[in-house]
Amino acid sequence: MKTSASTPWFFLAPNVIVIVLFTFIPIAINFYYAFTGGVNLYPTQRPGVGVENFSTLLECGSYFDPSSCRKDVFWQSIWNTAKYAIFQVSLMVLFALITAVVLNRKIMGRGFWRGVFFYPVLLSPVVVALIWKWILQRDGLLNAAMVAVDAHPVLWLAEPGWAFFWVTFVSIWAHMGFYTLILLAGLQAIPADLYEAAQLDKASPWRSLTKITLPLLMPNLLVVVVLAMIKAVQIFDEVFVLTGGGPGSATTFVVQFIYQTGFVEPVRLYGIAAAGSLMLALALVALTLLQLKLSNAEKAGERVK
Amino acid sequence: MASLQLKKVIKDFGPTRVIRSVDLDVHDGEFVVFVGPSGCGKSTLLRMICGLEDISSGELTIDGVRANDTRAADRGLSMVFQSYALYPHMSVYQNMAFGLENTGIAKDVVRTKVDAAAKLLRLDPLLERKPTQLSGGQRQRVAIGRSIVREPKIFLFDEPLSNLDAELRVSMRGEITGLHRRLGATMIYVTHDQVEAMTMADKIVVLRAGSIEQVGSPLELYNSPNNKFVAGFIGSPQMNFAPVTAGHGDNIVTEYGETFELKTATKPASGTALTLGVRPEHLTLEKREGSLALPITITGVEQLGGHSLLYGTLSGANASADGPRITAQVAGQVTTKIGETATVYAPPEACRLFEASGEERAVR
Repeated sequence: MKTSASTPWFFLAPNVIVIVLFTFIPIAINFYYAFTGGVNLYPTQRPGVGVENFSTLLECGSYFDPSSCRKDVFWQSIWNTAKYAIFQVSLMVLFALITAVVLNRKIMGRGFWRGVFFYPVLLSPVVVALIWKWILQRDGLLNAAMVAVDAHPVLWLAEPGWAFFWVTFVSIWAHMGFYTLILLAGLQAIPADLYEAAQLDKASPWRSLTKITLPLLMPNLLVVVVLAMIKAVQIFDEVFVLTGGGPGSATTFVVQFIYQTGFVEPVRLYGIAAAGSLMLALALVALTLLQLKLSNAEKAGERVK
Repeated sequence: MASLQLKKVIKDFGPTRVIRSVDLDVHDGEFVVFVGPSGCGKSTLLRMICGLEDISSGELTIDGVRANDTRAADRGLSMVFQSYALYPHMSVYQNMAFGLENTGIAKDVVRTKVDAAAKLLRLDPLLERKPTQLSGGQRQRVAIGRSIVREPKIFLFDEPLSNLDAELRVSMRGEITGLHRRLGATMIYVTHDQVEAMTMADKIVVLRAGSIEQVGSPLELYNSPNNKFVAGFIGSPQMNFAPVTAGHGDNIVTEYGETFELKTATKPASGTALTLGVRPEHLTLEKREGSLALPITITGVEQLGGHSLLYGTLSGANASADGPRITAQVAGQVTTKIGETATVYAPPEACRLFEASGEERAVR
């Protein structure tokens, strides 16, 4: 049968149109804005400025001291994001791993507990933030409980240290279930007879965990870490509702900086925001490449299994 | 060196009883084979001995000591799994050493023991390989090697050859029995393949639906099966069965009206329905004096050169087209064609009789 060269494109068209319209064109526009300046929204009214937007963002006395940078909030948000990504990802993956190992055992009400840990994943991020805001605000549930036991109420969301802690905690609570599920699937892919063989080999439960479970789970674990990293770098919605990035810029992350620079500040610096988002994209591309590399390694690992 | 006893051992999974009061003695140095169709409970029984399944009631003793509540690791048994259950991320050496390392034995002792076992199983050139880099037979030997290094009291094998191709299976059979002779160890071996059972066992335990049907040496089971199930399970091709009726005296009457004399220990009442059993290899095409003639319509012929297999249905006066199937294994090559009728002869000494109802016990 003869097929015209255009026939496949006819069937691909609906998807191609949607992707071009809502993904590729915005990316192109983003590049245009990143290399033009001024405060005008219309592209024709924006003068070309070369890499000035990038150099503005990168202008810094020391990158380790945000206050020495021209865009101090940008660098503050980068350091916040880095700190957040490290703490949130390592703690969340650790808890997810422990939870998965426990839920993989024959415990009472296993299905119920699996549901409990997965439930927060189903909630909208805004709902998550509102629930916790209600608990943590000045006259919130937690402070009410503390007053009831004669403790001093704490301004959980108004002290920088506590605010950062709760932002990290709430995001772990909200997303852990997803990673638990992936790790649980990984655990269930380990054949049960390996554990029986280990049992006969007189392996203690700890030795079974460290010598059998963890090495065989490692491919899944690496993918989970990178996935969680990608999500952590993109953090915005929950935190924005919970703390608004405050107090000060204690919980301002990169995406929020971009949003505020481009759409909230009285003087909307689209160029700076676009340049910032391209730099964020660079980090995400790097992490995604790492993830692809690891999942290829995982496939190779599957063959080893 | 160890013996093992099971006394009234029962296993319930919820409301389902999968092992129904099993009594068994395994003597020191014996090669015992559990055989039965799938779902008969043979693997469950092995796992109960091993300690991977609890014993619901009854008693398991190893060397005279009750072992019901001893942890699997402390029973001093080793198991070769059907899937081999090799640790995929460890080398052959690490796989074999893992059990010893867990007990905190010095590294050089572990090395000596693993090397010795590797030599015995011709694994020494493969010690640094991962299980995926091995063939099926090599993996099997690693699994056995992992058992050997632990110097268990009893070796347990759970259908270890079922993942191998036919040729390899035959050679591994020889290796395992050879190993049994060299080590002089007690071994319990589970299989659904009666050929493995016949060729390897000192003692065969035939199981059906969670109960022992018969225990005995391979030839005991072949020559004097307790009941129709054992008769049909042991031997290949399967024993032929045909319905008959007890007549007067020692006579039995076949479906097509022929009367034939077969002496039985206890005389069934005249008119009792019985099942006649004859093994295919005992049927001949030549008529011999005193033999029972079985007229058959040929439905299939397999020429194997040295011998031939004739498949047919019992025909004769009253027989229907879907009458009992008869297989005859006759010496040499035959000229018989499909659709022809032939008569095969069963010598009386090869004829067995079973009750046609209840437990279908052998009456002859």
